[in-house]
Amino acid sequence: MIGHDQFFNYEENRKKVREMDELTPRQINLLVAFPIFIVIAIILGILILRRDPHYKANQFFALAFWLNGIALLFNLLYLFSQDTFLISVLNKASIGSINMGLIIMLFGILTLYKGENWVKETKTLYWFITLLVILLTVQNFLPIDVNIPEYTPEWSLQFGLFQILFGQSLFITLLYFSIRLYRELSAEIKRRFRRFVLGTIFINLTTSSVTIQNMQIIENYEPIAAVLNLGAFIAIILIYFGIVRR
Amino acid sequence: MELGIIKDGVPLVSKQYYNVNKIKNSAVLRAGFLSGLNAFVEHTFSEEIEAFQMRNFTIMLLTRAIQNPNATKIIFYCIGDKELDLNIVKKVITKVLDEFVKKYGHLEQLSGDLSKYLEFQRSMDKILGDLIRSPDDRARSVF
Repeated sequence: MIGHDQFFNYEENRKKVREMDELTPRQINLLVAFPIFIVIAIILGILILRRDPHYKANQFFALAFWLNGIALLFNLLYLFSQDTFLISVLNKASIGSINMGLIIMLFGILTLYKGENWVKETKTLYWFITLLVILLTVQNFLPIDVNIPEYTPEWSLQFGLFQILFGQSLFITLLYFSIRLYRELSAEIKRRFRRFVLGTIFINLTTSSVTIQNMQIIENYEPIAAVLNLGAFIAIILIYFGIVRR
Repeated sequence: MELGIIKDGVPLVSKQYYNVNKIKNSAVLRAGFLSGLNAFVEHTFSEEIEAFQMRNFTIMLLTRAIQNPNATKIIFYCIGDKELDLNIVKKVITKVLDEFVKKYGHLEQLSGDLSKYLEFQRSMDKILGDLIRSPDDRARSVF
């Protein structure tokens, strides 16, 4: 025979176990969309390199896709972890990889627009890389917390604002040079390039949504974030069709 | 985009890589005009033309004196669109010119049989890299 108090403790514990077994929208979303993104990102990088492994633009684009894939892989690695240190380190590594991917993609666009001599013959690139390394290092030292009991990253205001300014500045620069390059392209390439640009817009949408979610500035944002996170999936499909299908 | 090397108004080497804005007339006429223009500016202003721009085109010239028995001057020209990055082009075509002088600078007669320079076009292509490709051609390697 079990007593009244023992029964309610038993029921409460069962409820807790059930809650732990249930996946949150974020977890379901990440488990479905992100593995597909990672696989397609790896394939895209390989296919681009197979076309011309020695051309700088191809190297930049392949690396950019792989960095985006790695960023999402980091997300998956800490998805079920309850180790706060591991979560904060992998979360920082993830956003760092996203930013690096964006930078490398910008180099790829600039190589197509200005030619690879821009990389070999000017010092601008080295100054640009030095500046970005400094900025990424600064970001790495900004604090982030881990929300308990959900074990999700919780960014400080400084970290979030830095990411918004840094990420959006990079994205606007990428968009600016993409538009300038677009004007130089023939109709056939324009059609494929449009899908690529649309894909990068969706990637930015997802990154922005992750920033809002991690800053926890909007209440009950998780269902919205779950939908917006699908932007990564749409993005990679658009980029795939822009680059692979001929 | 068109690149070439001129001596006394004659194109020793000339190659058109892509023609977006439809350059008309032959390379011989263009070489004669650029050579004449450069000589006029040199005579009038005591300096050489580096580059000049039109609505759709940018033309860059690089002059080099060759220390052969005839002490001749050669001009390297590059005709590109208005987006041509002069700093990059100058660095790259300086390399082409250096290579040309290294290969043919010792010749007493640079003009005459021009077929001897055909082989140089390959070296020129290699040094210029993807500068000889339009942004559209470059994008085709990825998209």
